[in-house]
Amino acid sequence: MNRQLIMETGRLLTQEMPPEAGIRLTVGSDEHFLLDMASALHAYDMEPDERRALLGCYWLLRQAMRTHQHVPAEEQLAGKTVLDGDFLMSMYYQFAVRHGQMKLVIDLATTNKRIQIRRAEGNTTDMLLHQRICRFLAKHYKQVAYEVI
Amino acid sequence: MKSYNDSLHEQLNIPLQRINRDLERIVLHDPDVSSRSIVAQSVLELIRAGGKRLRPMMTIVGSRFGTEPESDDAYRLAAVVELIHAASLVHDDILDQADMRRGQPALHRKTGIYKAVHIGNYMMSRVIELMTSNVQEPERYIQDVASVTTTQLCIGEYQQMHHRYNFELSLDEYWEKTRNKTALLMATCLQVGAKASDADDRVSELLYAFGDHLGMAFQVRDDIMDFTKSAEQLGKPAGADLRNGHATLPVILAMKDEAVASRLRELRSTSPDAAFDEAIEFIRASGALDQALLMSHDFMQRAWGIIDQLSDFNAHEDLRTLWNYFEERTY
Repeated sequence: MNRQLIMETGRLLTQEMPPEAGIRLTVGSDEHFLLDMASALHAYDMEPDERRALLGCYWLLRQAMRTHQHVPAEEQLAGKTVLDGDFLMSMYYQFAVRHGQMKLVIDLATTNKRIQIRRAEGNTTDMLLHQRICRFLAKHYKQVAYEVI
Repeated sequence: MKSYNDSLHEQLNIPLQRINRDLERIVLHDPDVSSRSIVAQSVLELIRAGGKRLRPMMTIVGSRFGTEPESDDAYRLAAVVELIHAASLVHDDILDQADMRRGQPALHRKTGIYKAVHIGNYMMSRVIELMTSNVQEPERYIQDVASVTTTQLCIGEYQQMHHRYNFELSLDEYWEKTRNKTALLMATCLQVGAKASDADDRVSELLYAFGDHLGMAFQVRDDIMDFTKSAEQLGKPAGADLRNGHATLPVILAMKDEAVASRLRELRSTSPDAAFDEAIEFIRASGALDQALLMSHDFMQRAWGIIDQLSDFNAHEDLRTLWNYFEERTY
């Protein structure tokens, strides 16, 4: 179920990715984060479209951050990586607006900023984004009710 | 001696000090950044290094076409658009492998690439944070400023990157790249200013078109100045765009002359300085600079036509002032 959601979201993102960017969406080292998030999303009551939109936002943010995390130190090689990360981040905003996820953008704004500050200052940030989105889900959605027999 | 460029804010009656103060406050009032942090220090250095502040001034002018001119929101947006511009320059300088910016070493030369990338990211994410917390009705602006503009900025950069040292670019491709890289943000500045003051949609669209024409003319003039101004005036080596492999308008027009084109086709990033110096001389002698200037005039004429359509507003005089600045600017 979780892998299915990741596949459907990947297809949606690929359809919306402008070809000029030449970026391939990948799960990469974020696989366990995406699986965890897919699982968290299934725990809440929402339409399938919304679930894909939320996971899409998370995916774009993670890939943007992963891209900039690995920017080469050599100037000649850095340009494309910098641009790819910028593009993925701006696509996150565009995708979120297009899919009605303004509340998420507003909710994540400060967390995104803090991640950039921590990285510039040489600190790690692995769980910040994940934790914040989980809090966003808990605040805005009802958990799926399971019947206890 | 005071030049026309220096006095633009005086002619527009815009307090540049307020814009600079608001810009600094964006960082100084950020509770997540300590004053000793490399983030705060770097961004403040960038802000204090100066700049024309054209984009914020355009935002304030845009706000004068609505019912609530020069509101606090308009000034906040003015600071925000300048921060977007400054953030894009940080990443641009890495892409262009630039040494200097505004007379100082480029940020990545001081901090290293990784930190500079994330300081640029901080500036953009701080913009989004401000837009979603302090501006009334953030939805009205986020799509304009944060999403459309920055995505298009990236696409402009991709186009430039894909065409590096390919001087066979068509004029249509050049206009598209220029619109994405430069004109869209200027157009958006006027438009968000107008929206912030509740200007009607027709006026807001006319201001957008005015900004687009000015932005296109601005970039063409920039392209021309790369060949006509000294390194001292430009703050970077003369012909720097050509040396970086960028197909600017004079280069594209000069390619029509086969004698020039054959030399330009041989240029690579590894070519010696003398080869670029020679190519620059050929371009200067080709008549391409005059042709480019005519094209810039064409955009300026279209912008002038829009001023006429907005002549019912007192602020149309400010558009004339902006127009004159763009027409007469020399660096």
